[in-house]
Amino acid sequence: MRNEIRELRTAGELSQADLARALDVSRQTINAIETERYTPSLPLAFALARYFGKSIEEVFHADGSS
Amino acid sequence: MQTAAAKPRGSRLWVPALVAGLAVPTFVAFWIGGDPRAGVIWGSLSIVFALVLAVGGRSDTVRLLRGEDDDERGVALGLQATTLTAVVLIVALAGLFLVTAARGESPLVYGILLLLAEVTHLGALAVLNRRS
Repeated sequence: MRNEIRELRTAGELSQADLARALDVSRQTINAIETERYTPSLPLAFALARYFGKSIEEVFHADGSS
Repeated sequence: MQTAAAKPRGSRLWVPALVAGLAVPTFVAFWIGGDPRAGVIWGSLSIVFALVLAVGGRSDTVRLLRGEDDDERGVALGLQATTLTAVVLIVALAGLFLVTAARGESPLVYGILLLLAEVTHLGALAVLNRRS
C-alpha cells in the first residue's frame, strides 16, 4: 500500500529509529512500511497518521494513487 | 484498538538457553536407548543452533527468532513462518506415510501424527471461528 510515511518522516527530520521509538515498533517495521513491503494493521496505521497530525487517507493510499 | 508493541521479552538469551537445554533430554533419551554417542551428536546440534541464536545479534532474522522487538510485523512474520513450517512438515509426514505403507511396513506413527495435525487444525479453526 502506497504511503507518505517516508516523506512525512524526513520532513520532520526524524530517523526511522526515532519514529519507531515513538510508535513502539521496531525500526525494521518502519522501514518495511516505507518501502511498501508491509501493510500495517489498522491500529498502527491510525497511530502513524495521528503522529503526523494527518488523517489516515492523507497518509495511506489504498488505490495506489498519491 | 492497540498495536502490538515492540517489547523485548526479557533476556535475549532465554530462547538460546531453551534450545541449548534441549540437548540434555536428547542425550538422556539416547543414553537410555543404549546409544549415548548418537545422543551427543543430536544434542550438539541443539547447542550449535543455540550458539547461532545467541551470537547472531546483528541479524534481523536471528533477532526475530529470539523474539526480540516482537511488534505486529514480527508476530505476522512468525505466523507466516510457522504456517509454512507446518505445511512442510505435513507434506513430509504424508510422504513418509505413503512410502512406509508402500514398503509393507506399518505407517502407524506417521498416521497418528497426520491425524493429530488434522484434528488440531480442525479444532483450532472451530475455536477461532467462534471467538472472532
